[in-house]
Amino acid sequence: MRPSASGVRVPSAVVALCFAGSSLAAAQHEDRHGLGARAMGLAGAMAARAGSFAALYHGPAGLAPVPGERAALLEASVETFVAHPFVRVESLRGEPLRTAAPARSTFALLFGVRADLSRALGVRGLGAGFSLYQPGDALARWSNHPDDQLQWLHLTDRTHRIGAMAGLGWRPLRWLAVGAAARILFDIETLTVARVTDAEPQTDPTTGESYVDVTAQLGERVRAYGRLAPVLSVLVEPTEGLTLAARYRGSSEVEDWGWTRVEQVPAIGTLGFVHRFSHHVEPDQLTVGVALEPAPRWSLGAEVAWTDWSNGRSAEHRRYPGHFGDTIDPAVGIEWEASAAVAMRAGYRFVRRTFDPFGGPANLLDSDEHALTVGAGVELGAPGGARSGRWSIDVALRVAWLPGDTERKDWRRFASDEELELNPGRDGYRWSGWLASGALGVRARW
Amino acid sequence: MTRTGAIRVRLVVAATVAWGSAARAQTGVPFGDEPRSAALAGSGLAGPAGLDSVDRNPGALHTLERPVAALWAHGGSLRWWFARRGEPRDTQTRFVGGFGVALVAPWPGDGPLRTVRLGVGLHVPFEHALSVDAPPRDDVPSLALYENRAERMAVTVGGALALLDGAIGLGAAIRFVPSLRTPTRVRYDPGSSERRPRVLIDLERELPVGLAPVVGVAAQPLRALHVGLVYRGRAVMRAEGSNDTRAGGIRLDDPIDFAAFVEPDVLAFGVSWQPVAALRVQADAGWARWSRFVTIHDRRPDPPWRDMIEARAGVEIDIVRSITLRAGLAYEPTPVPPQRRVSNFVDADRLLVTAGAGIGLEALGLGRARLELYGAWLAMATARAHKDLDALPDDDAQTPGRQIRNLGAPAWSGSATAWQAGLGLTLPLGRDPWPADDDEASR
Repeated sequence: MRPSASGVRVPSAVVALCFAGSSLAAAQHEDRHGLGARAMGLAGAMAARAGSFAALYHGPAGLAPVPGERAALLEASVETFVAHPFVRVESLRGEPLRTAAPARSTFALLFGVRADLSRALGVRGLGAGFSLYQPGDALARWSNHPDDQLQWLHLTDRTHRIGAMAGLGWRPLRWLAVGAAARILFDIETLTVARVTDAEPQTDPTTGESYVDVTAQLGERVRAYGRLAPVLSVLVEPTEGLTLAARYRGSSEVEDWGWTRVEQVPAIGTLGFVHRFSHHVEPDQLTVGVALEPAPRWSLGAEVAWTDWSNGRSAEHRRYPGHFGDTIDPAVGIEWEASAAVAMRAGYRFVRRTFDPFGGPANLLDSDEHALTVGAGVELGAPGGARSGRWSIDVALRVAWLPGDTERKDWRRFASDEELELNPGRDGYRWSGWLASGALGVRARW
Repeated sequence: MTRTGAIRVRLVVAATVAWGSAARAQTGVPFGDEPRSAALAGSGLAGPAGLDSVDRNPGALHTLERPVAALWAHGGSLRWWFARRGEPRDTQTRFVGGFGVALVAPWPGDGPLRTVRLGVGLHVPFEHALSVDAPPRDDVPSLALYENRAERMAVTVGGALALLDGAIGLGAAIRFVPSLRTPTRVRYDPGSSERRPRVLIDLERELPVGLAPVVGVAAQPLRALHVGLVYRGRAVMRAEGSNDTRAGGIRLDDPIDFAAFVEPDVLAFGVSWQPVAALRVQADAGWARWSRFVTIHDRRPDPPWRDMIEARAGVEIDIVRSITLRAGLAYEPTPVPPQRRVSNFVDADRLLVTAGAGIGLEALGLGRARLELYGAWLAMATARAHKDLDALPDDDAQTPGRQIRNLGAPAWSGSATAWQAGLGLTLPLGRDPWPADDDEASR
């Protein structure tokens, strides 16, 4: 499809061209913030903590009724989530640089339910959960840009996508619970056909260039496919006050693929291209965690997650050998029951950067992340003791420091001098920032 | 990329997307209903509350006394055919299935809001959360009411307020109606090789949410009588954006503007009569404003569709304490006028016959849940069209005479049938009364 001096020289068959996409691992919001305000307040260190709908994501074994909890409990939560990035990308001379897609603020609603099904289904120790995350401004939004455009890897799209989770937890023994859940996301396929119906030679009055003004009719087939990512977990309580957890979370990915074909183009025939993007990736992850009560009214949760980022792919569906690497991320959260009705929380999570351009063509910005969280929970309207109230409020704040890095291009990693010259990041750049987020949730119990 | 010889392609027609309303594919369509309602042919907007009341008539939620959840799944076949005069039938069959979940509950606590009821419903098709075909031509034969709209995800959230000591319920709900914005920018990559050409794509997709309202009232003027009235606002999804493509000498730079008409404005009235404790008879009648229908290319059909009144009825009998049998019947006159011009919408009057059963699992020692089963069969009369050749456009102005290439000319016939079966679990949740059982040992 290279233009010639005499006009256009294009293959008469469909030209299939792979093209590029954008902010790859645009992970879902819960991947770092945690599912819900309580999880955020504990820095997501929830693998070994049971008893809330957040267990859908953090360890579905925790959906099972907790010993001492009300029988036939039903609880539903409505939560709001906000996040705002304060990030900076600048050239090595200190000039601010624009990214292909801005790192935007997010407002979202989260709806979560957990129910004890023991009585309803006659299976002792069976619980279920469901959650729906809905961005406030759109069901979904994402952008795809070539990997060599300057863009944040995780910050742009990860909280702008509807997502649902459903799962079951079962406690066959008092000291053992198992659970399974599925994260439900959606792929999109678009097949586009444009059929030329009219063509008329024209001359651009400004430039004098000639072109053919073509009218076409376009048809499109759109399909959205559900995609399930499994979450499996087990909880073991060897002694009172000590819970051990293991969790596997399957790779979740949202793909956007299809093709566009323009038919009956005069002097050309048919032309087109195919596209395949991957705009959300969280690779396979294994986590071990522990929860314990070191002192009365204190509980501590900690976990370490290994994530298979060495199998990560960019939004262009490319692998970058040596650029993606597995990560091991620790998190710890502590909760203090200040009174019978008030709980205070705090946590810390470290997230290792997943991608390093190493001076190559890609300009995907990623950073280590040090996240500090605080939160609180208040029980309201408790008829039979504070911890059994019908209403409760949870609030959390999270501040993450992104120390960033500096990128300098290495000409040896480019196929040609021309490719280096055309690279938007050829002069080098550096980036850093902060990410502030918060959540407020109201939970009702029946 | 040089501009010399660039070809400008104007996209007259663009793409569209459909997504859904509530827990039903469409009024009267046997796809996607909650099992009890489906077994009653979709009747029952008067109440008492069912799991799909949040969408059907949120006012009926006021009769709800405790939290109830439902999970259901359904599957079926849609078969339709089209035959142009003198040509063999073109028959298409496809599977349509899905699953749903709904939760309705009274406001927790004993405060001033204790008369409030809340509900949420979600329905997701098995295969495609969304499926839409927008053919490039206006005359492609299509099953007007069932083709794209049977497959789409649907979410509804609503609530009700009980008034006059529960004699009247006022309810409202919103259905999420997404649209699509998809600006696309395509550029040829001059750094790629001729052997393996590559273009650079900047593609954005956004699904903004539109809201379609549902407002309803339900009342119980007599102990054995429920009545209801509901208005459901129309739902139309749009696809907008731009296509700015420059690859080699090719340039596409035109807007995308499409509409997918999901559901018309509907005003419906229903009545439910329970002469004895074990028997309930119910009937609904609804006026659907199909005259505002627009095609997928966002144009009024020519001729425009007609408003129609549909009717549905159901009967429910408790044969023993734990087993309930149900049956339903619905008649849906077609809103599609005779297809004498360009379009070829296949539709005719339809009859829906349903049957089902509810089984209490408690009698089997399996907990307090209920198992709901149903089957539905839909038949459509044969639609026939004779084209008015004078009303069809000349498809090739360069050739002498009138060149008519309409895919339905000179005449055609077509029809459809569908069946569906489904099952679900209705789960009573929470403890009642509260907090009288507060001191019971949990386990």
